[in-house]
Amino acid sequence: MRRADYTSVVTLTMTEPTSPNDPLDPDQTVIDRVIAGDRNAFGILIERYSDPLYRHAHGMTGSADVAEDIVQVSFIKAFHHLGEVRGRFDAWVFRIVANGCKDWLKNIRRSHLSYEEDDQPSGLETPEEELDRGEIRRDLDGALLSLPSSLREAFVMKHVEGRSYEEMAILLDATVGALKMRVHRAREALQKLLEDQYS
Amino acid sequence: MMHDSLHPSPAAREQAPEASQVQAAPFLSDREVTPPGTEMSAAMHAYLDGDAVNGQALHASARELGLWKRIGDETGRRRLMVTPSHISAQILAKLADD
Repeated sequence: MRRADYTSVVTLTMTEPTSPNDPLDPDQTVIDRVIAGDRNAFGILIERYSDPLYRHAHGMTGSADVAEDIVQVSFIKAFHHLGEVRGRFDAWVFRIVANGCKDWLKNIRRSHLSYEEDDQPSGLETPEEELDRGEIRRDLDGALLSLPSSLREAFVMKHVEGRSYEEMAILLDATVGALKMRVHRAREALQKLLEDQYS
Repeated sequence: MMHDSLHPSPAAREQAPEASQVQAAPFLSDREVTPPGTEMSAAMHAYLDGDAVNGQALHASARELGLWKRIGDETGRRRLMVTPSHISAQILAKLADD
């Protein structure tokens, strides 16, 4: 499998103010088990959080292969730094994935992005619907990749991952107002790029 | 931590065409400024944010609405994507090798 070339160091910053870990936090219970030597317990955290992280990486890179790679590398990094988690594990690991996506976008030449078919069920019934979906998927991917990464990130989190502005603010350490502005600007740029074909 | 490149070989990396040769959409500069002439109605933004919207205001944006319905259908499908099933096992296998 292809491997990503994101070489810059991921900053493992906390997303919430420093506070003692909550012993009742179900994630913290699992983390404690892993740190105590139960490596397989890390699979619980992977199962809990890999889907939204995969969707984020796929939305940011436009590639299923790259998304898989970023998610894998991010969880491995998370495992090796698990003792540094303070606050919410999901926010902490999200930051690792988000940084991995940004590093990849900085380093990769865009020519190697492919719009390969994914293995996800489309739920569409006719060949015409499949063809139509292929067009909007390619065009939306192309338009998203033309956006500045901060706007693409905000749009993907809002419209692909379905997160609230409040949740986005926690994950990105930004204000709700700033994130609304980014989403609005992303929509306007996408509309400009796609309106001639689809309006 | 170092990782292998996405590209199969150094030669392939050297031969990769520039972004400007392969991108269909023009790349917007890395700034958070809306290009001129691309403003959307406030009603449409509110609708897309899930807020209550006056029907008449939205009716005036019928052309925009058609586009955003298409985009919404696609993003809705993407929201159902799940991680390929082999990923978890691969991660745990790599951790076991460490």
